[in-house]
Amino acid sequence: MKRELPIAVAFVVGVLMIVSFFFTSKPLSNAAEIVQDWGVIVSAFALGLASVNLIQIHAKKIARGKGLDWLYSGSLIVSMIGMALLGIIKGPTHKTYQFWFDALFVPGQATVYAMTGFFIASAAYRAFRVRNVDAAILLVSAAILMLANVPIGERLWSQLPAVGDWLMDVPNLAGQRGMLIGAGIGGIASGLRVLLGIERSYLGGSSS
Amino acid sequence: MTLAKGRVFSFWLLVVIIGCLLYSMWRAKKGRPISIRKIAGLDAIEEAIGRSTEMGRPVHYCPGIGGIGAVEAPQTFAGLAIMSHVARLTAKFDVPIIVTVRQPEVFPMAEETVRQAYLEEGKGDAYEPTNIRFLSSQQFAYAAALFGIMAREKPAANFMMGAFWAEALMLAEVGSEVGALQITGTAQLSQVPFFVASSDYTLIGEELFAAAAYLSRDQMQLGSILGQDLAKAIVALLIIIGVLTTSAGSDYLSKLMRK
Amino acid sequence: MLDRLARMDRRVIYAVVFLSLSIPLIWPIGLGVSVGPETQKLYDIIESLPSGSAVIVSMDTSPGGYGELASGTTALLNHMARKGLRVIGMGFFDTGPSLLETAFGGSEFRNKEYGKDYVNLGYLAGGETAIAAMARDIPGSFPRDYRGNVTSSLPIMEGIKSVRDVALIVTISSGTPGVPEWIRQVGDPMKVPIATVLVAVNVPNMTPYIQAGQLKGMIPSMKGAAGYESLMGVRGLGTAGMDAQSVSHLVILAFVILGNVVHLASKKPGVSKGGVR
Repeated sequence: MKRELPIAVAFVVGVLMIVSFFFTSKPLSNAAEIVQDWGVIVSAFALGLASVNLIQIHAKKIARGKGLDWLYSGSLIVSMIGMALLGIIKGPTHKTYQFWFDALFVPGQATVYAMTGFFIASAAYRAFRVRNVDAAILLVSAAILMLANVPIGERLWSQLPAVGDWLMDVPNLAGQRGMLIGAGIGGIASGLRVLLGIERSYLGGSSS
Repeated sequence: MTLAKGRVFSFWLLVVIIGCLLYSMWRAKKGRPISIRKIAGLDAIEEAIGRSTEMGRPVHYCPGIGGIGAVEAPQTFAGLAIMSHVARLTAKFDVPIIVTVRQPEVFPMAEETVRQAYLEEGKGDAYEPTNIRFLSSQQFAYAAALFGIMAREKPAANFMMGAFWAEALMLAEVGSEVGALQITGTAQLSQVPFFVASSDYTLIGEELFAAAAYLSRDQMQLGSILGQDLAKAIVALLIIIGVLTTSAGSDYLSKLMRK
Repeated sequence: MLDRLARMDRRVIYAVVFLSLSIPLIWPIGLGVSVGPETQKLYDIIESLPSGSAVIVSMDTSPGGYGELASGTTALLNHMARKGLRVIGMGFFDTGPSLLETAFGGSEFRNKEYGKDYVNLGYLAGGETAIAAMARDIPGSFPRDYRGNVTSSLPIMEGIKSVRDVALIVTISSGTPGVPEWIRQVGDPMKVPIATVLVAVNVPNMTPYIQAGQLKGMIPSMKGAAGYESLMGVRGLGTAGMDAQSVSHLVILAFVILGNVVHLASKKPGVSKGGVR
């Protein structure tokens, strides 16, 4: 019963969502909306559960007091609770909330994202090797596209953007579509296995 | 109850695809032997965990940073399915497994998957709940926290299977920097090149979805992989017919698809 | 020497990339910009809309992605403000509405009237399903705006019930939900034009949608922003960033070439290590 009930619920909800996507029916779409609302509520509770886990782990680190861990963990808990209280009491449009959002959160996130540029340079240096013909084709295509996407490429050779566009529109598109179709059908198959309870490792334990 | 405008063709195509999958699963259940090609990334899982055992360092696993309520949900489920297999092996070899999670709703599933895997291996006492960690629901806060975990705990094997976005390359690069053997997999096409460049093995697109079947060797699941190939053949046929009819000046098929 | 180059400290690479990005930002070279066809299309669509038309701008990105999208978003909002369009803002990322506030504040909309010329409806949880729900009933999905006003009482919402009442939807996108979700739930079934301001990494994935006519226009990353700025006759953040991008691309290419030279020079017969798999 511990296994069968979640699988039955998953099946009913899954079928309801699929049918409501394809068919126009007021009762169906109402039912689907209710289920979506439940999903949001479950997510909110899951966030609560996850926050408890976060506090547990970091409280342990503070108690252990090893190195600077206590300081990092302490700042995490203080800022998490502080921002949550500020949002609840003053609201997210309040200028203090917006200040911390703009001054700390936005630049922090943007900085981590911007680090991709540095990581790609290091990964390219280390891994982009001409080992065989395939890798050589890949390297030449990458070089053309990188140059075609910036003004300097056009300065070097006026036809470079056109070559870049061809690479994107023909070989890239062919590959993309193939992978997209394969992944799409794979996704349907995976969904079907979950709905039918054939793949149930997400409930814990082995699949079958 | 009628089919919504613009979704008629998609509906019937879905029916055909599901038909192919069910038929192949039924054939497999009847006992038709099914073999699928080797997937190097999945075969290397034991090697990676063995390496962790030898080096006395933990294994890190991330079931993607996608949730279970959107289009990337199958990737998350695939990530959890592979995680179940990995957790059983870490339990068997007595290697600690650190699981990091971004989506709150995935967290209880990850916890249960690992706990159950340890119980099934008879190592319930070795299960460490604080090793299943929710880091942050914010993408880059999660990434930054994981950089820290990688740098401090230096996993010898790093598994990242599921949906990833811009953090994919950074995480794999940090993994490579700490010397982890990395097995990654995603169906997020924009991230595949990054994983390929910085991991030891990468599951590309549908390989990720085939992983649970591949690892479990369950006939029904293997049957569904065969069904996928059948469905792909039908879609390929549709493409060929589409190209031929469109080239001949007919827009019948494209109109039909828009219905 | 070869060995040292092969094991080059990552921080050296990071430092060179940092310099290649920052120096051209401080001392621009002025390489000029070209306008891509997708960017031109979006510009033409905005130009063709009569003043007073309602458009949706959905902030479907996080602060991380917004760094790359800010210049394109600002250029687009400025164009919309100049054309006198009514902008209905919303977000399907939880951080979207706060970023939308920042975007409106940094554009010419700051001189316009809130609630009449533009509005920020806030965040709707649920990703793709939330987009579908919103498409059918906008005021029903957002009963109150981000600032707490009753949505249906705002003058900007006059005559707006579903997405069928808007002329264009632009998603400022860096992930999921993003362009495919908007096309699936709104563009295709409800026949509303979809356009996007998009991060560079997702641009190759959009080609199928552009070729199929499902995506009507696009500002791809900073390059698109620079093109859009040139169409509007202004020099903004996008234009300034193009020199930096040009130089950094050259530097990364130089590293790739150097890496290969080192690899080939130190290659022992029969040994193959690393490489593209």
